[in-house]
Amino acid sequence: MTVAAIELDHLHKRHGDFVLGPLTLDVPRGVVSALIGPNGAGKTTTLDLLMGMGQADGGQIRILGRDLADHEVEIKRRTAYVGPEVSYQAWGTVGRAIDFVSGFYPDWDAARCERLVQEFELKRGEKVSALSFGAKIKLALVMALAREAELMLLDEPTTGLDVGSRRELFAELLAFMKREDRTILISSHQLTDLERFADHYIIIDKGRLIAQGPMDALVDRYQQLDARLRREPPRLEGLRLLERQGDRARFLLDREVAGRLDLAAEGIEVIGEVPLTLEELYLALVQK
Amino acid sequence: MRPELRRLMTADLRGDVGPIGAFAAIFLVAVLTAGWTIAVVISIGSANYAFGLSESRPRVMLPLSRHELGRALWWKAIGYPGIVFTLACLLVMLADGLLQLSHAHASGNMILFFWAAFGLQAAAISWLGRAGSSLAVLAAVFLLLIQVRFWSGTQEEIFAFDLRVLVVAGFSAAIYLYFQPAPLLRIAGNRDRKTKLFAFLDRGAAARPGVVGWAGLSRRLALRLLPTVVAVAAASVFFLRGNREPHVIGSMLLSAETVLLMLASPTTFFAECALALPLFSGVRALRSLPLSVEALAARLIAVSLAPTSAILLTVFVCYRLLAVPQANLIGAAFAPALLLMASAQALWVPALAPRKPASLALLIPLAMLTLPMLLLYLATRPWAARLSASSALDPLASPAAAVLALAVIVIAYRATCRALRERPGGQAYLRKAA
Amino acid sequence: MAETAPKLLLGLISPAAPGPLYQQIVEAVKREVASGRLDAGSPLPSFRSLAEGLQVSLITVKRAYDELEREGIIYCRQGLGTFIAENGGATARRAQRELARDALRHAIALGREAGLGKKELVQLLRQELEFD
Repeated sequence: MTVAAIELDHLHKRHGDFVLGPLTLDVPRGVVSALIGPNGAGKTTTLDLLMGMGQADGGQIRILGRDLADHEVEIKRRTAYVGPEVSYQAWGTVGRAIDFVSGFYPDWDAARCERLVQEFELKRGEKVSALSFGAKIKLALVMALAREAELMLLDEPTTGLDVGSRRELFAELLAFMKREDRTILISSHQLTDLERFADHYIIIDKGRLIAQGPMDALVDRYQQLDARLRREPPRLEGLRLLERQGDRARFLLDREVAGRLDLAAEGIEVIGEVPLTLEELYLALVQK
Repeated sequence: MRPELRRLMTADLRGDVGPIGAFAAIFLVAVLTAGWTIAVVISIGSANYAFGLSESRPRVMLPLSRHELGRALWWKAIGYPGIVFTLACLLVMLADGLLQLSHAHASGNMILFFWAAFGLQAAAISWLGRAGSSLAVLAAVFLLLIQVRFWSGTQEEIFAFDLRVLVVAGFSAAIYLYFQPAPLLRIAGNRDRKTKLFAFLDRGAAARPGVVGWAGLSRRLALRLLPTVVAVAAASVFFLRGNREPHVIGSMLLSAETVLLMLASPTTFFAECALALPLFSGVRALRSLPLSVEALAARLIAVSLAPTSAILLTVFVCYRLLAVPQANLIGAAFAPALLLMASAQALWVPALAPRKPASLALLIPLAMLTLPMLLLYLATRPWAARLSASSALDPLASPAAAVLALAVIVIAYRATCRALRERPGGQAYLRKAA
Repeated sequence: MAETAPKLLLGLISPAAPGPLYQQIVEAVKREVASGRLDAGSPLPSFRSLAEGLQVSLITVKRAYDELEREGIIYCRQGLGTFIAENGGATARRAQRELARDALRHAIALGREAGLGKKELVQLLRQELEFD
């Protein structure tokens, strides 16, 4: 049992009115994990805290087996971050930004960097301020991939990217994962993409953990049921009412919690099962 | 006037009255403590800020003709600042007792100067096509004024012929742009045109591959500092050679001490804006590098101290080299202030470091910091004069000033460390916390 | 797309096609083995290579491989890799036959629902076979 890539233990932070946590979760090693949640759920706050941007009010963060508070620099040497407002405008051109960053990583691979720059159709002489949004993400990606990082954190890298660039991004991420010990944590709103490319999902809302698990267990764990009601449905643990029209209702069943329920006895006559996508599960879990 | 145009102009006025008001307040204090020239620079800075705010795209979508849009921009960049500063001028003159017929000519010139400055600024920026490059315009306009002042012949009037030409030109530009405001629309729309002033530097510094990490960045910053240092040295030489007797309002402009401050503060200001500050927009990028908070804070402080220290050192060296008779007194007066001024630059690092500054919104905190420096100078003046009169103390070795300057730097460093650790940075966080 | 040594032509694995992605991979491999395009003992790509090649998550590939191993079509040797089982072909063909039988059963049920008798069903089947 390898140690998890990221371990959060009762992490909490107050940010004005917003309270994150207490958050306790593990991001498993060697797989692609998707961090999902509505806007304002705390995804960016969490990812920022993982990079040491901002001080947590309490709790522990362990990354790659090391405590973040004590080994921040060492952790950053093995972690790559692609996120918002990471602006290299002050450095002027793409080439200068890359030169600057490369000086901090002894394991920088200049040949790979050149190959990636060409593949992403960037030019060294191009001004950073003149780059399109997608090109800026690609620049951050080049800097992240040109070294031997063990962990990659991506905060909404797909926002504003066109379809082709999204595919390129995920292709590069899967190529990154070819080595055994690499981990990715990606937060994104593109749930259809994540469903396909991610191995593990973590859903958070209002700063709290709602659900997590392996992506393929989604199908096993959650079921969407189309049912006819004989009487008022009771409030049951693990059974959530999604929609109701007269005596027809749609439920979300969490088999881990409510798998053994006798639904007929509760007055719920199951008509059929409706296949569930990640997007529908997400909407069902974070709905008001 | 059409109601839509009036609505746009009212919106502009309401939007800008805060910053222009702030600048006007700073201007008042600056005039009363350090002199008109500092005040002039601050007022030009505010016009700059007004330009920086103009968003061309939402404006262009309004149902207004180009002429009307240009007119609204004129009010934003020349009209409102001009009126506000005229009123401020009159207030100062009233307080100073200069609002008399005998000084009418001089006072009138002074007020005209502001309009001329705003007019020149607007004309230059619309020619250059981008508000961000106006820092170079400011530097050019300012240095030009200094040159003109040096080459002017007599001391009888505060504005010599050449300067008057400049004032007339600027004022004419302001009037012309009122009636033909279309060129003003070229601002903020063109992203491709850039200042030619710093372009040659970019070429030189980029040619070295293999200079990576901090070394590469430091080299580039140092290279950009060079022309500023050269300009300051040249200006110092010119001014010190042409040192003259003080006269009425002229004393405010021409006394050697004010000259020095005049040179040091705005030029430092420009140097900081052009060199150190753009780095702060990249603080989040720097935080994702394997750098400890302490290392990053130290580097940010060093970068902020570099321009001021270089400039002040240049000025001091020129003073020494030229062996100006009042050198000792001036040295004594300035040494504590010099050190403190230099160290004071570090004070805004913790405030700005984790934020993403809008390019010109920085003018406000920076202008506000010019004030403490000026006040510090005034505060230390009598003390330093007393010191130098009593002994042959080498002023630059003044221990109290050195200790204080060091303390200021250490305080700034620790505050920066704390700010970097606690704040994640980025514009989004500014809005959330608000 | 970089593909290391064992090359696998599985056709397009897509969310638009019916069935979960891992099932599509399972079916595709079974097709290849049943038709003889993949011989017994042929190596299969590693999880990660196939994931990259098909642009799907690791867990999808892992689940597909687990399923295939359970059905006896492939086997896994620690350190050496994944290979097609000796009887892989036969097993796959048997599995395909089961699928065909299921499809026929389903067709019969539909026919019954539509009110067709045994004779009519056989006639339909013959017609279809003639067209083939």
